[in-house]
Amino acid sequence: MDREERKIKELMSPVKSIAGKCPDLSELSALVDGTLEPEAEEKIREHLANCANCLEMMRINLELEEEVPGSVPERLAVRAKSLFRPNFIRQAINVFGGILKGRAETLEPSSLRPAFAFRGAIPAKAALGLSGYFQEFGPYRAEIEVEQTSENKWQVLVWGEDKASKKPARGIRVSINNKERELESLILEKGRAVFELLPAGEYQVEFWKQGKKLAGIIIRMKGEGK
Amino acid sequence: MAPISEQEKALMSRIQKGEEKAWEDFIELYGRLIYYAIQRTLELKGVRLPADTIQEIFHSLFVHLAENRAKRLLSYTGKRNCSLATWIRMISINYTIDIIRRQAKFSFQVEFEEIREGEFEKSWVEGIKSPEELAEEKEKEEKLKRALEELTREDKNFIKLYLSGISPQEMARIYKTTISNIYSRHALVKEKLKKSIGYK
Repeated sequence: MDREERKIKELMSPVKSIAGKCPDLSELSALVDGTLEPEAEEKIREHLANCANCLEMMRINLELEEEVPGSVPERLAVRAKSLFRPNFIRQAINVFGGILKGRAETLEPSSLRPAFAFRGAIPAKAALGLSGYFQEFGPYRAEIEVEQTSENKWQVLVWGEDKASKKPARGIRVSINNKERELESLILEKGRAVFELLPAGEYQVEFWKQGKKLAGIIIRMKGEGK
Repeated sequence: MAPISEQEKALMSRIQKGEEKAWEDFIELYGRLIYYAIQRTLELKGVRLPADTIQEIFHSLFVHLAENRAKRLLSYTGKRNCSLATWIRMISINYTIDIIRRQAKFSFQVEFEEIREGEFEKSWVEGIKSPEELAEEKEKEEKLKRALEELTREDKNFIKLYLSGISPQEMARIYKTTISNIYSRHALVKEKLKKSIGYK
């Protein structure tokens, strides 16, 4: 995206969520399959241009369509097959035991929390939600994770490693700017840097080595407490 | 992808009649697709979960499809000729995203945009601008705003989607055209904007 396009994007109303006005899933699916009439197609495109949620579903669906699914663990398939029997709710309750409370409609996975299952312990007091991004530049690979730690506070965690050796990157400085100024600059320590207590907004994270900028990433964080 | 096939119609009709074997066939046919859609949606959303939690989501999605005599599953009617496979994938993605949202204490959205070597002119911290430069920038912005308003609805949708971070391949699918046509249309819309602004 060039400078002009960035300005255009800024000036156009943002793609956001339009609750309640979304097309049904058959219509979105038909756009993936290419079976919509031209008029209906444009209507859905207009919706996608204005609804981040549907656009996300559409993008994931298009991406997955190109991929070959793996297998399902056998015991899961067996469990699922038992569901269509007339007494399936009772059976499901038995299977789930304490997880299920009340009726089947209220069933939700019990421990659905984003888990930091890699790189050792990370001080995630409130791992409420996180988003991650991988970026490669030169001999390095960086991972940026954004985590919302409270209603309007965010944390940006940056890891850098040498692509070949997989060892923590050395001598890399990471800075974070908002549109006005540089807010903080840290040298990666054991390949890691953390920027805390950032309010929602737009930030630019930059990677430097020996005074030379190697790469950067713009992060836009939008969010509210429920 | 082909719209609803005779085989799919027959399968749905057997499920409607309550044939237990039909449900088993459905799982044989679409279980992998559903499991994979859940796994990949979580990955693409940057959410890492232990395998047993992913399995719980899989099972709860089947409960969702099977409850009330498979009401949700039977709501598939092949409307707009969408295929059963695409619809099921969409349901699985939607269900997974919904679970992530409901479980997170905060609703949040994070976007990332890479800046690579040679593109650093995008950097924000470029020094202080003079009042003249700022005024010129403001004027350009106003012109651009007006030019955007003058675009047709279709062009507005196009440029908005194009700049939403979607890939040209995905754009080509959404517009049922080739990638080169997407690039051409993008260039055309930009040209229109430049003309409206008065650039050469």
